[in-house]
Amino acid sequence: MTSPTPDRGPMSRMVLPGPARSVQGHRAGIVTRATAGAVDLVVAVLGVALGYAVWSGAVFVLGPASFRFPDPGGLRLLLLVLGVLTAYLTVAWATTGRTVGNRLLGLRVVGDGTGRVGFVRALLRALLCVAFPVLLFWVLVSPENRSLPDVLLRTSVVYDWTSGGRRGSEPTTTPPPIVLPHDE
Amino acid sequence: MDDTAAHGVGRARTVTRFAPLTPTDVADLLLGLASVGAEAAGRVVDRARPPVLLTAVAGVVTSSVTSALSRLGDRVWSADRTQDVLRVGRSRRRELGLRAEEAERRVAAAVVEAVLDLVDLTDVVLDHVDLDAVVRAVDLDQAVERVDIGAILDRVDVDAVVARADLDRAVARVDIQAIVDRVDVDAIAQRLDLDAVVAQLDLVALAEFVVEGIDLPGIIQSSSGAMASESIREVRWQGVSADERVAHVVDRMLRRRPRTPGPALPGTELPGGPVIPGTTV
Repeated sequence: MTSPTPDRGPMSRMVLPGPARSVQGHRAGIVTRATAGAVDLVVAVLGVALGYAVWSGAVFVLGPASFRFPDPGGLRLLLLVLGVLTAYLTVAWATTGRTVGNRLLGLRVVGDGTGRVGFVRALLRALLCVAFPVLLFWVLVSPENRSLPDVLLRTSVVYDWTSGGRRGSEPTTTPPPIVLPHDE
Repeated sequence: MDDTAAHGVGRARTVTRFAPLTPTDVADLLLGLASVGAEAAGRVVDRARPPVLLTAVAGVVTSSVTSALSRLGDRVWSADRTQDVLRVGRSRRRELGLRAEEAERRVAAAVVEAVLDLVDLTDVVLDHVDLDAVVRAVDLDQAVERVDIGAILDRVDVDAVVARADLDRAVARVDIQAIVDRVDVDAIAQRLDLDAVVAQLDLVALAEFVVEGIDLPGIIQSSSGAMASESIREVRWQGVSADERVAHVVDRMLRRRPRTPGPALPGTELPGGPVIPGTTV
């Protein structure tokens, strides 16, 4: 008994709360994206710290007597953090489209059209985001909630609370607009 | 020609057996019979060689008989002309008959038409004819038995009939709704043996098919992931709310319409009501 496998994205979203379902697939705003970026930066720092710890442990094992904490230098450490962050973002966006920060905030990076980002585009996007994080704040003025890297590389960051690793399951038709009560 | 025909008819009476005999014909007949008898007597006298006196007397008698016989012969000789006159009379009679028949048809059609205009035949039949009795008297079974339906069907080109029939128009004139209204669906449903239908279904295979179709493991995984942590969901929802509020503030500062960041990718959408950020998810 064979049958075409249905799109599991909509079925997966059925388990989401009603209000959350209506925003799935919409482009995310600055707060969630900046928060996710911060989380990713923390992850990269933690990764570098873990690497530093491993390196230190290796040095200690090799020469306990003359052990001193290695001092890579501030600039080198910064470049190391940025390099690790770039590699991490590239791999995450090219594979599942979501980093740890994206997963925590319920975001996903998708490419316009097919939804796939691709390694080259993910690498370029990671370089832009790491080298010029201020470009992210173009989201504030963009009517479509797109940052400058998104505009340049034709990508989007959308709300996706599902845990599936697949991409391209976002809705096409425009859902009802999000209603926000006035502050007055 | 009428004179000729009338004369011919008069002459023809001598040779047709159906015409009544005129006094002249009777006289001719008697004379003919007499002459035949006299001739026979003369032959007898010749054979008996009678005396001269007798011969003279007989000659006197036979002279008148001979003249009568000669007249009879002339009439016999004129039989051919009589036949001609007779044929003319016959053709004339046929012609008159045909004309009369044609006239009868015309007159009869006109008369029947006029009568039918005056009389409603249907009413007449209905008033005066006991149709029930007529129908009862008809042995329809016997009549139907004598009909060879197969032969009739063989002679009918059903395809041609169907091709000429405008079924679309016929169907368009059918009030389907009225027919459906007359159908007692409930009664039909009560007659259905759903248990038997269900008994024939392979429910296990059907369930497997459904589970395979909806990717139940994927749904469970997604639901567990989506519902993994109430705190994470709260963080996400707060993030969405914050996004909307910041965007709203920026849009107001830029004095433009509130942005509506639509969906980014093709796919399918699930129904969901409008969202008011800050409300409990």
